[in-house]
Amino acid sequence: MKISEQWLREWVDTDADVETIAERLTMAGLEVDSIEPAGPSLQGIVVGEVLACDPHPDADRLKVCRVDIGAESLDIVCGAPNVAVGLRVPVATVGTRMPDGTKIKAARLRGVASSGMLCSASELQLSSESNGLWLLPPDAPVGTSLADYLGLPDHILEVDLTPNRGDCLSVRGIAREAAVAFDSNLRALAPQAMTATLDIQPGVRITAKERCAGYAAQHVGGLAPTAATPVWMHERLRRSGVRVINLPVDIGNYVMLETGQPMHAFDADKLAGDIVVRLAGAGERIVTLDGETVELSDSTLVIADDDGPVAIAGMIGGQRTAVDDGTRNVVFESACFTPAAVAGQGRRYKIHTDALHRFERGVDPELHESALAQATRLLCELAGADCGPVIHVSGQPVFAEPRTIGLDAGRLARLLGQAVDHDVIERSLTTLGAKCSSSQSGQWQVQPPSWRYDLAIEVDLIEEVARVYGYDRLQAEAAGVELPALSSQKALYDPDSAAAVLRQRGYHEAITFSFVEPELHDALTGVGDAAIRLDNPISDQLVDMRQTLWAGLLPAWAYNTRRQQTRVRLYEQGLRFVRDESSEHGIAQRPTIAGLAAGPAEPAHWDQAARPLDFFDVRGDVEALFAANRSALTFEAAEHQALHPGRSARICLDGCPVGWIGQLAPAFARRYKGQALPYLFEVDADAIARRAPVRYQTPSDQPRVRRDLALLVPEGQSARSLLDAIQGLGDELIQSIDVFDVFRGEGVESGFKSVALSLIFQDKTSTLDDSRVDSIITTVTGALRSRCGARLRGEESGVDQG
Amino acid sequence: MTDQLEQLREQGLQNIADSGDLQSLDATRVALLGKKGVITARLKTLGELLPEERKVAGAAINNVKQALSQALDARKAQLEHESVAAQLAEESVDVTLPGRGEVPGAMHPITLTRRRIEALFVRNGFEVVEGPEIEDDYHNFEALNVPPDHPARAMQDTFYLDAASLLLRTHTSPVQIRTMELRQPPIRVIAPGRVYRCDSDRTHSPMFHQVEALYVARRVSFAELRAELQAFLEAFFETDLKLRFRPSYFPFTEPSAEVDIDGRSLGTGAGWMEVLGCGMVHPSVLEAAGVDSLEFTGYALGMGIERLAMLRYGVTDLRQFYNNDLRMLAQFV
Repeated sequence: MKISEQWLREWVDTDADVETIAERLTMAGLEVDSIEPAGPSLQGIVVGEVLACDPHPDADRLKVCRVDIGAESLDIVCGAPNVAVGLRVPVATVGTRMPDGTKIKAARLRGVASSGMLCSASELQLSSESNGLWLLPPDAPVGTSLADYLGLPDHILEVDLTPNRGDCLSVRGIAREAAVAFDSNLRALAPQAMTATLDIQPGVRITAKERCAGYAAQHVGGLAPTAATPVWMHERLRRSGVRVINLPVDIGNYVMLETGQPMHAFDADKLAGDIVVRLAGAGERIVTLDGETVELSDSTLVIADDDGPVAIAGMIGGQRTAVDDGTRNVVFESACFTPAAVAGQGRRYKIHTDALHRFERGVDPELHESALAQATRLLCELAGADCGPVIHVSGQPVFAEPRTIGLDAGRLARLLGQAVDHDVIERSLTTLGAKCSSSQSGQWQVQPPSWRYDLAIEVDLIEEVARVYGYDRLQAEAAGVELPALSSQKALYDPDSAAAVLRQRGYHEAITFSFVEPELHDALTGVGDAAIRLDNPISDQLVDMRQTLWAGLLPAWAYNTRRQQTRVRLYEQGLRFVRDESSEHGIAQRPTIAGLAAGPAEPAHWDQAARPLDFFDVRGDVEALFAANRSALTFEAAEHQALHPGRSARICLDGCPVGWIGQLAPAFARRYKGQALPYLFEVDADAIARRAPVRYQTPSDQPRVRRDLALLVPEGQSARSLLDAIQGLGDELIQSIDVFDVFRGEGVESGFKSVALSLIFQDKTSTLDDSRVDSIITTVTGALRSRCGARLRGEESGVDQG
Repeated sequence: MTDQLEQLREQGLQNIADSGDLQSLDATRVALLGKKGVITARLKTLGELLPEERKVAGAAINNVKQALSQALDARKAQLEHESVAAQLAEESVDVTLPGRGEVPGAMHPITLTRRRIEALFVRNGFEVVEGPEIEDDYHNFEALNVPPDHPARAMQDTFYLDAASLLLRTHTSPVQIRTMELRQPPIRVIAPGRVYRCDSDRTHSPMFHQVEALYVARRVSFAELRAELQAFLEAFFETDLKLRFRPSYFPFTEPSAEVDIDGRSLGTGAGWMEVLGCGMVHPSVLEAAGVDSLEFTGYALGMGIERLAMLRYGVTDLRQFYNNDLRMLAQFV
């Protein structure tokens, strides 16, 4: 909220400078975001009157004016279309530096001397729009400096109010806090009511009494056609960021800004019959002041006359009864609608107004009558109008009676960690406008002031005491910490061991958005319209909740390749989101770790030729991730929508699928033109973390025996099937089996590949003799032949006495 | 005789000097001192001499033999040295050339900051807990004392999904509720993670990270919150800090405060910098989660990880964190 320093000072008595005021307000919880000058320096600019205005002898569009600036008269050549004799306008005298930096000099314009400039409001940076010269009111005192006339210099404080402090949405509300902060006086709100001279009183009924605590209205008649918003009011509205519209509306806004009470002005001649505060009928319509036609819900409170709604209560008026330049008679409305009455209505109709903003947060139920008196007086005085008697109708009170809250000094001390003197507690609350009564030392019954909707329970009062006392004056003290039992933390928190492995292997960590581009997402997963989709995405690129982290890693890779990064290794840790009926809300949110590798297999090196990345480089990275569970890890050839069908595998742990690995499918080549398609993997983070403590086995000291087998294997048989055939024998002497060569081509018949295996044999208790190893090898080759159709290529190699 | 011997000596020394490698030197040694060598041959001739001549001549020959033997040893040592030097020269490498192998990757600066925050809290007895990012209205708002249509909802622009039945959590505070639903105090946890708000510009990202800390026990006070925060922030920034606790408003805490750091104490210049929000857990929040608010009190605090990362690393544009530019990431190795 924007507030003028000058206006604030009218309400609170303090000598403090504006910076100190801002600082104290901030420390009272009313954060002042900025302090800006309310206008540029207007030094050298005075109010002048155009005495004469003659055509320029040599220029059609210029006029030669004689201008009275009090002390003297000046000849000024002016090009503004609206210049005329008798006008009072701002005059920049010779030597003035204009707000845009240009300096006014005595000059000759097309041969005519000109000593000064007549100004528009936009040239003075006091308005963004410009319609020629700024025409000041006829009573503007000639010769006065414009700054004095406008009440400058002044400052605008931008206060960032929290939603609980609706009571501060006014000059007076902020002044009240400033008065507490400076321990000074707040000016009393005591408008003198106008004497009713007209015998016209609007009829008012409230049918929805629980939504409207009170409704006051008054007829003001006989507005002078020439009545205009005075400069001082115009300036205050401008400094508060409120647009000037017409006198009755401006007065309503002015009173709202000053007191916090939203007002509405109806054109009395357009109202048909009595005013009724009621719920809208479903489907009832209103055309608002903005010209929008709104179809109303039956939960919406409206102000209606005989012809239907004339305003959405507390929100916006209707066009049918709007005040305009032709309005001569006005009905002012000043009412207290409850926060519940307007809650959610702004979102429903996508309308946000200053009035709604205040009613949502709560408007002082004891304010509307005095605000009405102030508005009526202003309109009568400024428009030469007369008023009728006030009508006031009450609804249900906003607060249940009695509105008292218990406060205990002991509980306050416990929560703040420090005892506060009883009289300090009481004084803090009283200064805020609360009434305290105490039946017992250290215990109070507190009645909060009518404007504080946010005070309802004891902690609300404790906070107020702390706030008035000053947070920074309160102690900061570490007490003995009460720790939970260690048993609630079964597993040690170690989120990074898996990722550390990847970083050692050259992967950088990426953090990508959890919402992804639908087209790419669908191409990767086939999820289509079953995607978990945001209702209100911030852009059409950030819509689907990712089902795979690849949907973020691929764009990150593409971003880097566009910046000439040829070798990219990225990983990401985070949740992926999958529909799953067995999970909370039908969505499984799975901790996942995923990686992307593109570019050469190794970093460029002077001693190595660049080798293109292949499946086994990335498989090695995944194996490293699962190093602790390596023996349980298998890769099964399987097809995935996003992956190359011949270069993709399902990753399994103990036979259960835990992820995918493979090269991005060739179908994506079009999307990533000219790039070698990257390899990807994605695994459940929980699967990596799942690791039982090591069960130690004493290494055998007996010699190891190695036998190599060179096999001719049919192409269709995988390496895994060979290992399975051997492991299926269950011979405990076989310690390990390794594939150490795979070869196709010369010497190998077509339809076959040559696969070399090495088997390590070892006994725990004795040295193996050749005959035992030979017999196992016979069994092994037999199994390979029968289960995989594999034949021995040659003789076994010799014995390695390891 | 003597002349001949002297000539033999000269010739021998010359041959030794001319031996260019160990092999030819060995041949020279055999030719001079071997069984069939010239010196050995001379010694064999001594028997032909008279006893008194034999003594003199023998001494002379032995002299020569000794001289040659010494020369041979010296030459051998020299040749051996040269050979080692040559081998070393041949084997030497340009140590200024780069090494081979993978260059380690970096942790993202956001994660780096998150881990630092976690480590500091864990050291103080907090446990790290996590919660879902797709949340329901109850945990994200209602249980946190933000009923529907509460103006505080406008403080956080929310992403909704599945026809507004679910939402993306706007803060990590729902984890408070989920934790208290599962356990009774004492509770001492931090909840780090991703959060989402429908907002994007230089200083706002639709996704960012928060850490929430919650401590609920029998006697938890605002004084303790302040002390804990001061200690945490000073440990995080590794310097003494001037802090300001400014009254503020969060529906789920009361009293509530925002914490500002004096830029001068952080070395970033004058002006207060807002770093986090905190307060005493609102009784309604405790009750909603099944904790007796008469018996227990608690504090909660929440901070933006990006904010702390920007201050710690001097990053000025929030969006830099999410383009995953390798040139950015590699700086954090």
